[in-house]
Amino acid sequence: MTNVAGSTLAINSPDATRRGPISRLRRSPEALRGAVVLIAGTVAALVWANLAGDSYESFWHLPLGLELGGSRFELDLQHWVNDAVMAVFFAHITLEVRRELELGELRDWRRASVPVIAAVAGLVIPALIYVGITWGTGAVGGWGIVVSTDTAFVLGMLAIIGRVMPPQLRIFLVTLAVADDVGALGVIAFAYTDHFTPLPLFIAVGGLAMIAAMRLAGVWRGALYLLPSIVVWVGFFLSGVHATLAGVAIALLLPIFPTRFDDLRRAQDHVRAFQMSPTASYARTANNSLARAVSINERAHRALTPYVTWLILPIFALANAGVNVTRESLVDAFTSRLTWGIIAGLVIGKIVAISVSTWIVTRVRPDALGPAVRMSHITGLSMLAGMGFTISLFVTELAFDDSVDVSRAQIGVIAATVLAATLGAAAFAVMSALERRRSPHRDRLVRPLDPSRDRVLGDPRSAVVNVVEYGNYATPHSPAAREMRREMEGRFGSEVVYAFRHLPLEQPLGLSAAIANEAAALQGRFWEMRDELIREAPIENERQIRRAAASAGLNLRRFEHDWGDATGAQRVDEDLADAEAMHLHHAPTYFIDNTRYEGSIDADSVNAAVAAARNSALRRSEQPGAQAG
Amino acid sequence: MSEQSGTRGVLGARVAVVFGATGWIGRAICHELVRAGASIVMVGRDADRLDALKRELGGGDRVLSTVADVTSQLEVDDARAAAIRRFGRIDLLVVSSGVITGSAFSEGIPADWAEMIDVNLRGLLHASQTFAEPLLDNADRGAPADIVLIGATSTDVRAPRFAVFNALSAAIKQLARALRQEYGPRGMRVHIIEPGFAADQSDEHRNASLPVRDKQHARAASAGTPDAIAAVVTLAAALPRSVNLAEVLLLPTETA
Repeated sequence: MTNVAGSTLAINSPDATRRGPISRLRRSPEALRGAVVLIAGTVAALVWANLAGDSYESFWHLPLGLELGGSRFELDLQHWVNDAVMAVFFAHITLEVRRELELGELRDWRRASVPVIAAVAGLVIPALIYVGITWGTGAVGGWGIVVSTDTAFVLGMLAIIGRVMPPQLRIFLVTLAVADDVGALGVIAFAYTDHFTPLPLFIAVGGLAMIAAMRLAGVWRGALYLLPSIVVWVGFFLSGVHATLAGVAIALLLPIFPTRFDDLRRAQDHVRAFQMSPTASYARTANNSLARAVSINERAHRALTPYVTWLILPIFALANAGVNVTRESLVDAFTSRLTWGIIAGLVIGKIVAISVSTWIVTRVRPDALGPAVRMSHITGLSMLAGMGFTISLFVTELAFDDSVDVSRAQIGVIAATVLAATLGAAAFAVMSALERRRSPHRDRLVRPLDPSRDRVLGDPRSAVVNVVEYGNYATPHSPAAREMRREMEGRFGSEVVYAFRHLPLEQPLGLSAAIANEAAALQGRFWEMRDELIREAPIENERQIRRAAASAGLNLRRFEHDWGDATGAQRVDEDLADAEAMHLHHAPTYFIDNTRYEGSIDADSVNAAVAAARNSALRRSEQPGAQAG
Repeated sequence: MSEQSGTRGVLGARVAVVFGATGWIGRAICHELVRAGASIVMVGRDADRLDALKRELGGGDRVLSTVADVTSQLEVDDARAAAIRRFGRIDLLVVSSGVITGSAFSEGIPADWAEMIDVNLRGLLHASQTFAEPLLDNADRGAPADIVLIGATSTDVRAPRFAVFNALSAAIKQLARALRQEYGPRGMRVHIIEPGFAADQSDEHRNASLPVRDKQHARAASAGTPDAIAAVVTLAAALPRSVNLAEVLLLPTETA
């Protein structure tokens, strides 16, 4: 299910939106590769399980344990995977959820509410459909199989088939997946815990208290958290509550915080000290202070990601997807209400739940999805959401003891996953085609650079290339823009003309900062103000804007009058309307010679693209009869 | 307390802002203004010294202190906001912040010049411009509005060690004249008080806003004793609106 590390990072960075095919492949590896590895594990399991003999079954039931004095602790291999190794996976999910709650998408309830509502519906309705179909049979207890979507698979699919889709759709999906994971964890904790003995939980509580104490004491070395973590796991295991929930409990306690400025500065100081005298001890302090600047949660998440992607998920698939596929088992499965319950629950249930609940929300709040995401996108997404692989197989093992039921459920899960993937892929293929037909010119700049209107650097008469940026001051990515402009001026001089237009997005002070920038232009200090605003970015309070104005050398009294009167608002509104027409939802977005630049947003890449445009323009102008520019 | 009890003095209804309040001259001005019944906003760089001065003045509702560096436009503007927030208006601005660095010109340190230009000239420009708006509001209502700039004039021809400081003092005087022309017709008075200034040889670098500690120095600037300067500030502000005590030269009696 969850393995969204790479992809969430990609979502948060501005370069995730539009890129060329090569960098796309290079840069969205986690989601894609994760899905590929998971499929490989599944295929291997299926092949292995269907080899002659029972090597698959007997291997996964090999006992493995340790014996200390007279007491022994023993589990078979499959349970080691499902109870112990998967604890790491659940810890990973929980870290993700907490990060999204405190720093990410889920923090803003207005934005998060739609996918969260869809996720809740997506838990309940599939379970009801499943129960409806299997009512009266012994299989009713397997309803937990259909509640959760496999995030790794869905993000992988979206990376392949959803390229032209708006980036907000991914954010919607990640939020949905995270909320849905919370539900699944709850289902596992409360619905699939048998013979509960509370006493050993005290051991777990002791371990958790230790972690909490370490957290309070400011311990930031990840490795030190390992020992109490094992104690917690043992406590959970002995209590009968599913032991993987130990991972959840631990991850909930790990500190998370946005990187603090002080820490960052200390780290910088230490790195500088190391640069001046590169000794082992400076290397160590530099290293430590760098690590300390990032919360344990994020470091743990980062550290676990490769293991989860490359080891834990494929091993889990290998241990759990090995269903014996024979004519009889298939006939049996596809005539059983259990299998059809799972297929209907996952495929139909998720489609109905997510589409209908989102549709209802948009009836009540028409702007709930934002400008970029349409209902058709959500429907496509809901088809993909029927891919309920990892958690479904996990719950199968918890819900059923009878091997026939397990086999039916596994076949149902795999069939539903394949069906959902096919439906979703078809839907997105149709949507992509429609999208291309609807706006074939969406990559063109609708309002060409106009020196009489735009804020321009460089000489439009001598320039052979024009660059238009749509940007704002609310993202910490802005410094890149500043650096980029410097470099552009230095490298291309009079050959490039550059214009800046405003694209304040949903940031509270985004519009205000843009208007402030225009107010500075009334004193002939647009670019100075822009530089100072970039220095202050992200803009979180009005004082930062006033400080920028003072640093830009403005007459503060005049500035505040013009800012307060919103004199520049009309221009900002124009820029926004243009951006809306071009479906720009990310800042900064660049247009080079009126064509949207799709590469990654860093000074080198953008400048390389500008250089290429300039070279081809110069070549054109050298040819007789051709026109420059 | 005795200072406080004499409310309703000649400046009973006035709200004054004093830059360089904790300085040698500024302190005397603050004392004098409070004595004359004005409400004052003391602006300085050092919070501790401001607190000490406030205690010395007896605190009270009429005294507000606010920390700001006059070279920072933003901080000056914050001081304006704080003053308005507290007293609702401002009708007297006194700029007495400044630094003095002396040496023969050929020995001068450019960084010292930069500091003097920053504080003495640029800071004064910030303060005057930032507070002109509330002062003019007052003038428009027919109420008094005064800017008092504290300049300096060199009386010591034997030791020409203050070329840059003197140049800045001349600039300030010229500024005062220009502001008078610009603001006079709008009902706001701009005054400049120039205490005669004679350098003490042993005193190479001195921060004018530091309280003077040695007698030697007090003698050096004997003409412009802070109390005398403060008395002139009060006088200038208290005169009827129709006249402007525009330029005051305070010289030691024995200097010709």
